[in-house]
Amino acid sequence: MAIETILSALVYPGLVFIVFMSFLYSGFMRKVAARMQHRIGPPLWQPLLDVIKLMGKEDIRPEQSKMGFTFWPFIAMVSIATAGLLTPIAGSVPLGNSDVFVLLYFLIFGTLALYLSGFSSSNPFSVVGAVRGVVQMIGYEFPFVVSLIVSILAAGSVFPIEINNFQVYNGWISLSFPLAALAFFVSLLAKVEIPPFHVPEAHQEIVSGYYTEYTGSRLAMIIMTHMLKLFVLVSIGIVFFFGGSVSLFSFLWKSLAIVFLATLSRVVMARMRIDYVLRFCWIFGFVGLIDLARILL
Amino acid sequence: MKERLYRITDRLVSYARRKSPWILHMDTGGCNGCSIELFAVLTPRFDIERFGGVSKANPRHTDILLIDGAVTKKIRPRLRRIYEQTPEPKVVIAVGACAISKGIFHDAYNIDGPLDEVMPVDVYVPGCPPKPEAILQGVLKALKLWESRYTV
Ligand code: SF4
Repeated sequence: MAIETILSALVYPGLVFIVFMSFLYSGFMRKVAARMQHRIGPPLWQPLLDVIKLMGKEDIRPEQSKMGFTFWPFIAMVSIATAGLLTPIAGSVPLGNSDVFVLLYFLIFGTLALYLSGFSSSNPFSVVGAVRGVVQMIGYEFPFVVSLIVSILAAGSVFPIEINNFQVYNGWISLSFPLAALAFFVSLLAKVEIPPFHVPEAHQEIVSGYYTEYTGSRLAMIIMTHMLKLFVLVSIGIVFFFGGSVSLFSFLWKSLAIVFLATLSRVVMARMRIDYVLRFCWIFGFVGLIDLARILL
Repeated sequence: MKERLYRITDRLVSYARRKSPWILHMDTGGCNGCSIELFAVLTPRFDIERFGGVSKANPRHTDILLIDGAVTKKIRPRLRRIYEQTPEPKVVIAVGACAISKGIFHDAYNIDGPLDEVMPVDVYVPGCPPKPEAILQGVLKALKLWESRYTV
């Protein structure tokens, strides 16, 4: 019993599986984006190689940086990974059952820790990037929470695993509430900073945004955080809107389909200005509210 | 046992290095001909990403500095700074005749030495401008060097 719990938290569907899958998703994303642009593209395991390479590089800490420079990336990575462990994967939760709100808090805290790492590195570019990130957060948390509330009310439970099972028996929530699903997808793109929402790290404007100053293993942690965030949000999407999953196979094809859609957005879209992002996200929040009204009235 | 572990880690890291060069392109003030050829390396036809390379506009994240153009008096301190901002281990590639030996700007009043007076250069890619294939080969040569270079 105890061994089983530990194995499910660490190996499958736990930490090892989550990290492996998040590498797979971003590798898939880069490969598909390359194919869409008629390039050959990197191999599927490219993100893993990037992370290993960054582990072997020099760790520079700027003189002006604050104390948080050293630990915020680590905290961000850990809290996003914890959020991943609280999400049902293929019908089972790695870290035992808990409600949506814990998951939400871990997700928000991880994102905030990323931006705090930007603030603490004292570089003007990273501060601007972090400010943009926080402003963008005000934008996308609204449609995100609204769409999750729709799903919670439709399934009648705050436990992700029960929502998952509800969908397995009663069909996809996104079919009965398409507007909320749309709002969710938009906030997913905004949360993982996929174009048109890569405002906090805008390469042409503010060097690399909030992680400009990071090198070596801390940069690896930040990149891991991005990949884990993509994984967590995709599995939240499956659990709350796209039919749930009981087998590994349905989990895989649904998640790769969502990643494919996100890649399409990444290849096709250009970057929005930060005030447009705010307006765009809030419009989708209100679109999600229509479904909320439908469910309540 | 420990030795073996070190050796395996070494091999893993050098493999990952070979497969994931992140590149910073910097034009120091040539005629931009080399820059255009350099951008061709990133395009679908030559596609550096199939070797894992990504163009990063940030010295903190880069491994390979691709520098073209003659070094002007204005750019020299900034170039030095970019070199120092890049974390070890790193490789510098001089692209084009200008960066190697001042090229057609040889006796110009505002030129301050070839690139290797500013920073140690590892690979030279000659040509005015060199072809994208040549630049790509330079990058691959640099990767061989970089693979066995350890953190200081
Ligand atoms: S080497 Fe030739 S093409 Fe390249 S920057 Fe100098 S003059 Fe221009």
